[in-house]
Amino acid sequence: MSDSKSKSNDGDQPISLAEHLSTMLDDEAGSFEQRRVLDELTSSNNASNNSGRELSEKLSHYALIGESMRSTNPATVAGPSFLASIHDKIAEEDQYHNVQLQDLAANDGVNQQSSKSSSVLRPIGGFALAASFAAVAFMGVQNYQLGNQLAEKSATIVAYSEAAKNRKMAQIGNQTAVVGSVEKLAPADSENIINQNKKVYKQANAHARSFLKRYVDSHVQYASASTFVPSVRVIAYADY
Amino acid sequence: MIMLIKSLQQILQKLIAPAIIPMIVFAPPVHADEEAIELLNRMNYAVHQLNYTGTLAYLKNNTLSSLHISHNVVNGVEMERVVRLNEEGNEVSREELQDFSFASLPIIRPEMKKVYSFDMGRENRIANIPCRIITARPKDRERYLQKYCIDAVTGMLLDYMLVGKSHKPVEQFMFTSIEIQVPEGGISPNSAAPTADQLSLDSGKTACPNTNCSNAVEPIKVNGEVATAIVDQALSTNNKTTIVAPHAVKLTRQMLSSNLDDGWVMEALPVGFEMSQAPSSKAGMDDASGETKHYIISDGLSSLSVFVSPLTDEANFGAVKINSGALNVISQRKGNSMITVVGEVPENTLHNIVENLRKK
Repeated sequence: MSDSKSKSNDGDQPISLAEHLSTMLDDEAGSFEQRRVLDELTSSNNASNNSGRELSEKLSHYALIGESMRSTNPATVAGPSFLASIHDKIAEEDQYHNVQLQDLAANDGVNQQSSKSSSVLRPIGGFALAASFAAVAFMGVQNYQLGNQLAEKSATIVAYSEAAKNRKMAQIGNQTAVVGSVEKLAPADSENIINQNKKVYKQANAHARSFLKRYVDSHVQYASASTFVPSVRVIAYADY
Repeated sequence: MIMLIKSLQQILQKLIAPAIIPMIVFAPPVHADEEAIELLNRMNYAVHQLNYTGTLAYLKNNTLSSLHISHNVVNGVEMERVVRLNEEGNEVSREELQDFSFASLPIIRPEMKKVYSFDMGRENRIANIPCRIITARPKDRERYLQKYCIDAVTGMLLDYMLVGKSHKPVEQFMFTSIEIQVPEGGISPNSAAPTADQLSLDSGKTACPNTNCSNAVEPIKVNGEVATAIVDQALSTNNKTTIVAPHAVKLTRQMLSSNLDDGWVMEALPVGFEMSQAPSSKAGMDDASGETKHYIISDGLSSLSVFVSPLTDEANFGAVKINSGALNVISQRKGNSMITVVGEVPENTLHNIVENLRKK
């Protein structure tokens, strides 16, 4: 699949994969063409596959153009507000307690060699985290825009590419947003299924709290034999 | 000649450095975890044997409380008194005083290293006393990270923190002032850490981990009956001065199988947790209600309780949850029973426990 041209059924005029892609998005491509385009898209992660990357970029552009034409709202392009929201999300990331940070620093001091390696890794890790987050956030927006139609096709792409499931987040960041968002569907779907299976608990009302208090009492009395904190908590559980 | 030596040096550096540097970089800190465990166990011993009076700040759910605690060992019997100093800014009345105890500090066992890594951290200063930070870092998400700051001289715990998965403290207490009196004879900083057997009171053994204790405070010898009496005394006391014995409340029965009473089976437990059973109790207020079975699941540092009770009208309030700092409670109906799980573990751990509890 290295060539991006193919012969049309009438034999003379070569049809590019980009055209196949266009016809596929218009629901005019046959199953063979669809499969070919999808194969090319799923192999776009391969560094040597330039045509695949070009194709996925085209898909991204088509999707954005199509969505902007269909939608009454202006198309979302990564603008300052979008980037600001990413920054806000990053700002909401876990904040380490000062004591923890100092403790980490102290631990690093104990083993200076490991601190060297970690000091090198830390900024890389931080960048990777931010980059991954930005990529995932952008993919999420794109995925939302593509709508159900593309999502169904995306599911097909996932089915065709088992290897694609194992790609790293950093690699996803290098791909086009659309293909990346496609690959995110599988874990997202599985999470939804898990959530559906999980019991939904509501917050206990006053009656339930009063009733459950006896269990907390009993827990504090017996389970605290092996732990520490419940004896502190016995003072405070009445507050919950 | 000089050139030859220099070139030899360069060759040696090139050959040896790549071999040595990884050894240095990846060499684990020697016995760091053993030192941490030893200090934790010294803390366990010290909080029972020391006399101390102090004020501590207790943070939970963004609410800060202030408590005054006094702990004395009189003739080998621990006596504790805790007074809450504030309630929404007001001083609480004497009737509102609550019991408090350091008596249930965990004993760190070697097998806990399977699920926690015990790290010796830097020195800190709490209540103007230097202390050493020890971190019990869980190796999975089934439990909270626990951080202690322990006075290395006396072994007294000065600061304690439970940290959730968002790396934020879910509960914390810290002494703001404390006076520590080492009993006559003292506690040697190098005294051997007590083992589980040495501190186990169920078998009637002494609580004293070494012979030095006889010079200090006569340790109490407690068997099951005495422990029960002590607990009863502690619970019935009206003056809010609680007499406690170390592990006196440990009247639970270790379970060797996953089969529970009434056909219930615990299909799987999170790694490192073991199950025991506490005495049963009445499920409801009326005598007609059946018994509630109480199972305790603990890894030594974190614990949770599973209550299986018959479904009553009073308890039929659906699937509910409560969160209070590190404490989580979930309760739901399963068949004709009400399953309630209470514990100082993340809520997800409680969910997994309930999911794995099945009727045969």
